[in-house]
Amino acid sequence: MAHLAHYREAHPAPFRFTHWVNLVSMVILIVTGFAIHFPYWPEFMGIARGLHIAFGFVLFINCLLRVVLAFIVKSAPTAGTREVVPDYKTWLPQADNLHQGPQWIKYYLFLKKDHPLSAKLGVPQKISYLCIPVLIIFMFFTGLCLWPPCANMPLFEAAINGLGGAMSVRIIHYFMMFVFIAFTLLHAYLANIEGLAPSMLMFFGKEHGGLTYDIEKHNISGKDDLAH
Amino acid sequence: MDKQSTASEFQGMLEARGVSRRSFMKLCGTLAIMAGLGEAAAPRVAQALEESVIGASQGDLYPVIWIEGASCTGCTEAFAQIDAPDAAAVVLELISLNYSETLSAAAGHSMEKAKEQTIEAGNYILVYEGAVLNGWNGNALRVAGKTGNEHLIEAAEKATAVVALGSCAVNGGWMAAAPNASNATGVQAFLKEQGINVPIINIPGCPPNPEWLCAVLIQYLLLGELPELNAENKPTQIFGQTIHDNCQRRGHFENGEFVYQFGSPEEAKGYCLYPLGCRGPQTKANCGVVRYNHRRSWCVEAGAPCIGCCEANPNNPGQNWIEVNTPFFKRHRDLNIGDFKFQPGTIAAAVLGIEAVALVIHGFGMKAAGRVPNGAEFEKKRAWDAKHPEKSIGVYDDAPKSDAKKGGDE
Repeated sequence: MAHLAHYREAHPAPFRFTHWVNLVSMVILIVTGFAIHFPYWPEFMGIARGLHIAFGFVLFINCLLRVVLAFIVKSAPTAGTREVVPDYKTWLPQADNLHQGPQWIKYYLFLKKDHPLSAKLGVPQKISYLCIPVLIIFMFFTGLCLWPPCANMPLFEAAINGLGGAMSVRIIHYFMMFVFIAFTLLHAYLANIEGLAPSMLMFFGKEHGGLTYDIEKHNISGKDDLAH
Repeated sequence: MDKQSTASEFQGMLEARGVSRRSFMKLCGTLAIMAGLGEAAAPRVAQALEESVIGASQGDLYPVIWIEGASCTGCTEAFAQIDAPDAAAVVLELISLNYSETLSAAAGHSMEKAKEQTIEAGNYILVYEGAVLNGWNGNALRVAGKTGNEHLIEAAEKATAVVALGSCAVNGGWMAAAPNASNATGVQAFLKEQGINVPIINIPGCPPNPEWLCAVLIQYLLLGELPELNAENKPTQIFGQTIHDNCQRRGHFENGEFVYQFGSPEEAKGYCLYPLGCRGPQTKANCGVVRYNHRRSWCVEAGAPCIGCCEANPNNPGQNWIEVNTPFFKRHRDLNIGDFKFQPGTIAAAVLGIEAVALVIHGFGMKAAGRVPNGAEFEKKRAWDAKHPEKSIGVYDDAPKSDAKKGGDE
């Protein structure tokens, strides 16, 4: 018996859906983005541009949907419990997170041996997840700046000039993609380094027994091996 | 009656020069199209011509002063190649070019005098070619006892409009590219700094297509109106769409047919030059429509990827076409930290590589620390809570069960 138990309440179906959409869109956007940046595979160029624009919209709309759902859907504020609260509360700083930021950093730098207690999202995770919607929206905006139907509109024209011209926008868009890739590497690493259970839950809704957590006392409360 | 008399007098003038009414109207049609008005505006142009510059009723041609700043004279050279109307017709019959270092037959004191008189009389157009040099107090362009900057200030103050001709005049161009030893800038930025408020028409390019200047002059001189300008004071008609929008190789771009190497069979087929760093998709100019050298060809038609010479933002010295577009044959510009230059892709891949290696090393560390695959034990108490028991976040009174001590990251 290890880890906190992974219950579906932590990642309800709508969020598992938006997570899938994010993953698929980002992979398509990254592959097509490289193809547009330089036609490594010339025949794919036309398809790549069409897909890139379409999935840019999918990712953006999915991002908005996820944010709206955070106010509608309830989810468990941590692993190890089936109790639910409105999801957006999990995104904001929680009592469980307070003063735990440095502890997390110390843990990952091997300066702290035991695992920090925390809510569903550790502090570094929470900060990075809060940045992702902002990044997606910024990415979408710079994408529109580079897309001819928008590029000549006064708003986008002003933005292009503000960012230093089309070449700068192009490079910013390109760098931001690397930020996504860097984030995804780190995200996948941290989620799975201590076992694949979190991924099994997020992708397939597969539960996993483990310790339980009391969200009132902010502490481990027992264990559940799902033997019911 | 008056009108008729003017017309007949004008017709007499045309006949004396061996020009038939028919060929005159044809010229008017051409001019109307060049000014972006469409052929239907030919009668308007004809009337304007009759009543203004060529008309005998006024006699005087519209004065123009053409000053060379820090330039290579390429813009003048390009202008000298114009053929419809040809440069001589423009200089002798459309405008009165009262001062030009390169084109004027006269030289020396008499030229400076002519310029002074023109400025004094006012109501003229100033064409400024090349960058403005702030370095050495403008002394690099000292002529007739005055610095280049003084000449520009004097001439701009009383001008009806200033045409900043060429990318150097628009925002410094080559002169302002790093390291910009002469502290070069563009006409608009310089005049703004000097507090001189005069309409400015920016015509970028290296060199600018002569037909662009001609179109602007024709519209201004004959119809008395400035062309419609965008936020950068460039004529919208000319700089409103990208080269890519009107490129004759666009079909190959759509088909995914590209040239990857000069001298390749793909190049012989006239495929798209995008992989060779073509800046067409981000450079706004109508080169592909107007074309160069008597409309025979233009860069991309001749097999050279666009190098974005029309990219010049008068409000942003950093958006300088050399800075933004070099190296020309790469898809991205170079970035630099001090003297260290690098491609964005290289630095991004390097950072990503370092991250991947760091994660792998960290993974081995996690394994060595015994955290893989089950994670470390959960702390019994938060460190902060232990120090501040009175404000403790967690409630620890009932201790966790003895067999439930390990936990993992979510």
